[in-house]
Amino acid sequence: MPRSSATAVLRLLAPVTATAVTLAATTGCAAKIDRFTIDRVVAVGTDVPDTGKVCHLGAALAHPLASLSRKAPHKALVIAELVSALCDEGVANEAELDMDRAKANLSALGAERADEITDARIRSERAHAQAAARFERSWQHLVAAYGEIGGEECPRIKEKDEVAYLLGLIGGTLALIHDKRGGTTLDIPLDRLLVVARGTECLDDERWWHAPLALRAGAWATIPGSGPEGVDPWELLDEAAQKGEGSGVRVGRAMQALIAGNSGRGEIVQEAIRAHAASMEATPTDADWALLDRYAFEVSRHESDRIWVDAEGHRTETFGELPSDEKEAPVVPDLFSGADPFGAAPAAEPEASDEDEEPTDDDAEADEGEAPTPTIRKEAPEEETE
Amino acid sequence: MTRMSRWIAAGLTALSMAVAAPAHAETRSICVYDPAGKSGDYYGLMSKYATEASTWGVEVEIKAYTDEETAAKDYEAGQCDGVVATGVRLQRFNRFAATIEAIGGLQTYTQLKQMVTTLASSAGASAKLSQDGNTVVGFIPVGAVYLFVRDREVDTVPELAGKRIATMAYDKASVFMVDRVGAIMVPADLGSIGPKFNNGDVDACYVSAPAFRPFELHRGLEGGGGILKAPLAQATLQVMIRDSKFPEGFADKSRKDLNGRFGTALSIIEKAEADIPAKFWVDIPAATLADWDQMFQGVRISLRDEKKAYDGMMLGVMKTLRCTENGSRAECAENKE
Repeated sequence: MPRSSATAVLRLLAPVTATAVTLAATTGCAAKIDRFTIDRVVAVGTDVPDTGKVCHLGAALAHPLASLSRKAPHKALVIAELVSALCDEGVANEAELDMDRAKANLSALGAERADEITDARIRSERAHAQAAARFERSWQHLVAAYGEIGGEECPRIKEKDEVAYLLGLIGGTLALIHDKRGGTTLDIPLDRLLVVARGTECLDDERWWHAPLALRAGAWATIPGSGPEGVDPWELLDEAAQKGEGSGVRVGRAMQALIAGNSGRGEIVQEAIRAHAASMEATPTDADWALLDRYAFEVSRHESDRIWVDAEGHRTETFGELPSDEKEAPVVPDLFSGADPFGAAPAAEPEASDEDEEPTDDDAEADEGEAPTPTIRKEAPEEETE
Repeated sequence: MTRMSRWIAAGLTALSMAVAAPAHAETRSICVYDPAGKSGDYYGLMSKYATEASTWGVEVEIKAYTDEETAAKDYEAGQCDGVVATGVRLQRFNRFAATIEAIGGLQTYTQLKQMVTTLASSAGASAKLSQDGNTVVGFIPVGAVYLFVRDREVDTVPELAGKRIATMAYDKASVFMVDRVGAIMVPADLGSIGPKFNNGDVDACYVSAPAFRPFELHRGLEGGGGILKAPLAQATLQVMIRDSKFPEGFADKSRKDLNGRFGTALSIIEKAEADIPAKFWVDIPAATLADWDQMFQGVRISLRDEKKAYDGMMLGVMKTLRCTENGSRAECAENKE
């Protein structure tokens, strides 16, 4: 960042930092900073469906927050590090689409195509690695705040702090996914997902839009055989996503699209995208958690963009529509029993007999007053869906 | 550098540029009428169309026009290779295509969709959509046209007698209908309808819902006015091209593409209709609707037979669509259209 921009950012953040410094100076207590962050900053931030704004806020505040007291305000930092990772996630996603587009545009790019693909891949990996590092720091602060996650007993979690605990679990999951996509620079073990899955048992599913169940099912789906016997993790993931949709916070559905995309389950990704779009039509966003619903939408939309760029060379125009939809033949209403109402002979019967007179265009020109009387089908016409 | 070497250098530069220049398809321009210009919904829709159409053999670029007449004149003068304007405006080029906007011809968006889809797939229609070197290569719905009255009590045909109605002078059908119901025609165009209605210079005007907000028609409706909930016609924007400028097969691809964009255009209309406050809509009783229908039918037949403004075959197919949707209509037992 240029020095002048950095100065401007610091100047803008001065009031926020000053508030936190004042808090720390007057209380000297990490717990107070946690409370201020969760009760005030998160409460306001989650009302606004703007991931760009919170990612910059998190990136700017992580260091000041960590420096304010001798003991780090871990719960505040779970959130600050997590949201700061969204900036890198956005960069990684864009680079991924560039890579997909270069792959799709063989004829346009010619011999330079391989360079374009390689460059986009490297950009994507760097950003994924950076996102993984930030998500991982969020997870580490969760561990620091609550001790071992996924142990025999649940840690004591205050009701007000459950949001930080849930976001930390999401951070732990996303750290692994981004680490894999970023070239395994952190080498996060795969069993992280199972640790997260056990950790979700400590949250009330209903209260948190069934996101804990979605995280659990997502872990079991990713690691075959890791879930309870007789449970189909993909079905369970879909069930969690469906249950969550009614709340207007579609984190579960986004999790389904992300995990299925990661596992190469294209059909499930497509179904998740369609269901996500349908849910947005049917159920308005929960205004108190608009930020999380927006993030969920962006996750699903990225999966949709990847499908579109791969198939058509451009990203999603209308969320919920997929390239495979276009391949379906348009439904032409057969209101005229296969005949051409505007005069041409039916294609199937080029040699129409005299008895089977179909009006021709010439007939029509000769006698404008007499329109053909096509056979009318009795059943109601089926309207084409757009 | 000597004069000779400069010439050689210039020649080589020109040669290298010629070699390096990619082989581009020829460019064709389409004049697009949208009252909101480049920021309008229909210009936006045509912009996406142009991107797709540029894969059909020629490069298609579009120019925004906020004045419909100028767009049509520029097309006629050869300034553009294609034009997008209302069916009414283009009726002098193609009576068959313009008849899709016939008074009372298509009463619902379902019927309009069925008609547009049929036109995109019918060989017979394809022949009739091409006349004198101009071809209509697609239809974009812009909404059912409703009658806006300053006095909501005026909701029957006889009550329109003596009322001043803002009328597009170039629209033969409307001029004829206004005369038929005994109303007084006040010449207007899309730019003057709003002020004339809002200032009380006319008692009624007819537009589709997307014009409600830009024309601020609520100002003319406040104080007892209303919008009669019985569509007079279906307004469309039609895409017309000069045949000689486009490759073979373009028209067919274009009609299919624009048919696929019907839903996008319809959502603009539905949003605009939903945006009109409920208090302005006037429901018409079934018996009164039947009277309107009868008047519409009489006007259509006269315009077909006497004025030669409507195409008989198009009217016949419209009747089929109306009767398919509702077979109990009185006209379904007759053979007038």
